[in-house]
Amino acid sequence: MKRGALIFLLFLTGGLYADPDPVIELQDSVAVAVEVLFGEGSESKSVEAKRTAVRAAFEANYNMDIIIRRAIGRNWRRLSEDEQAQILELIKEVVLKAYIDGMDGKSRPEISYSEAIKNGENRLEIPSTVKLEGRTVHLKYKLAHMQSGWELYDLIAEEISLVSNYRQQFDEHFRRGTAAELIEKLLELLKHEKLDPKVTL
Amino acid sequence: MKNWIPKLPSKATAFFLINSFIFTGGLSANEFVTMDELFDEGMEASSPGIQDPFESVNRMIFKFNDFIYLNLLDPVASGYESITPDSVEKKLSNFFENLNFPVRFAGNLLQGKFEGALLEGGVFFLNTTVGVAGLNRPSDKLPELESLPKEDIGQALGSWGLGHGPYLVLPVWGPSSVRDLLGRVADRSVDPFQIPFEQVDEWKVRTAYSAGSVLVNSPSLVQRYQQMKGGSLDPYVALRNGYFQYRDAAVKE
Repeated sequence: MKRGALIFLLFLTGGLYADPDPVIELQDSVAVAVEVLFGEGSESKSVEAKRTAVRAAFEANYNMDIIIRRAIGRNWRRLSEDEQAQILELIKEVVLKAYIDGMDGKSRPEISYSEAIKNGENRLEIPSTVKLEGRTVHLKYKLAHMQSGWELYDLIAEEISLVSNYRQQFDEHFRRGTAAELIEKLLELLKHEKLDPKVTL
Repeated sequence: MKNWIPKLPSKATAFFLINSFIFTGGLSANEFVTMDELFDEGMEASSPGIQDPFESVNRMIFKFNDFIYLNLLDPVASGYESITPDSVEKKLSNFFENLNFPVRFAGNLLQGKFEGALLEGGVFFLNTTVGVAGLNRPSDKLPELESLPKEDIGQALGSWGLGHGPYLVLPVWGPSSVRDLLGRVADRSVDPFQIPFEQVDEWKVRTAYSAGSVLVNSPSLVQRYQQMKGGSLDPYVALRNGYFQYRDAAVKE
């Protein structure tokens, strides 16, 4: 009887160490980001402060390096360690800036999630719908169960994979350009407070 | 070899081993996805083989379009948005979308999607009658009719196995492919307002339809374009890749 109670207790405490539900974890991260952008007092926050807070919300649960490394693809090996670190950081900022620019200054979006689709034991696809100012955008979050937990490895917006789209741009860049030129381009994109579509690189 | 497990009484050993097992979730290392496995996953499906033999010409047209979108269409879209209440904007957008019914209907039929064609017919009937000439979308209140995939003849050509062919950037219109250009010509043949197959004789009506359609769609087009361009290293490549991914998904759907 004592032994049974002990084993029961062990399983109970073991549950504390189990991975959190990936769907809830994702919804929480998105909810925090939306709160930063549209919650009370958000209007008085600077774009910089919003970006830092949104980044923290995602980095609390996800290693953003994974998605960026996938986007850089085989070009990763062409970069020195310094370049890798610098480019990783700059791309994160560009992606975050694009994410925030897409929503900032608009009314709070309505976000709904459909049932997660399991692709094998270790991969999940979480479909969501974002209604933003009369427009409906379909997003799919792709998650993989890695040693570090459930990690985001692609984001599909209206059937367009973020990783594939950026990877093709990097491939195109490295056909003719260098890492130093890429860094220069990224810095140019980040120079303005908001992404400027009139900047032609 | 030195035993790394501390010497413990039997119950404590059991506690240690069981809790270690639970702590790791009972998973061995190969039950996790590794970075190497993830590296190329989904890239074949989402990065279609793109032919762009006319790249230099396409890039020139892309620059021309970029100028038009940002210097002509953007001010038009901003002006339209500033003088039109949101509710009116929505109704006008619904109106023009409803008039595009023949293209969606034909796209469904040509792909053998008879149920889709029937549902499109239902949407058109409901929105034209109850929705007052398509200004409102009562069909959105019915889950079966709420979000039907938008079919067109280019998609039908794709579903018959016709490849994209070379990538094209059309003046003002933007990204396309040889297949989708053929599809667009065919779309016009079922659209009563579009020349050279128009069924509506009055040129003023046709012009108003075309101009109205561009105007009503301009805010959303400009916004999407600016967002795509703002976050891109090479907007030409970003748009080309996005276009092919989007169209491939539409054909597969």
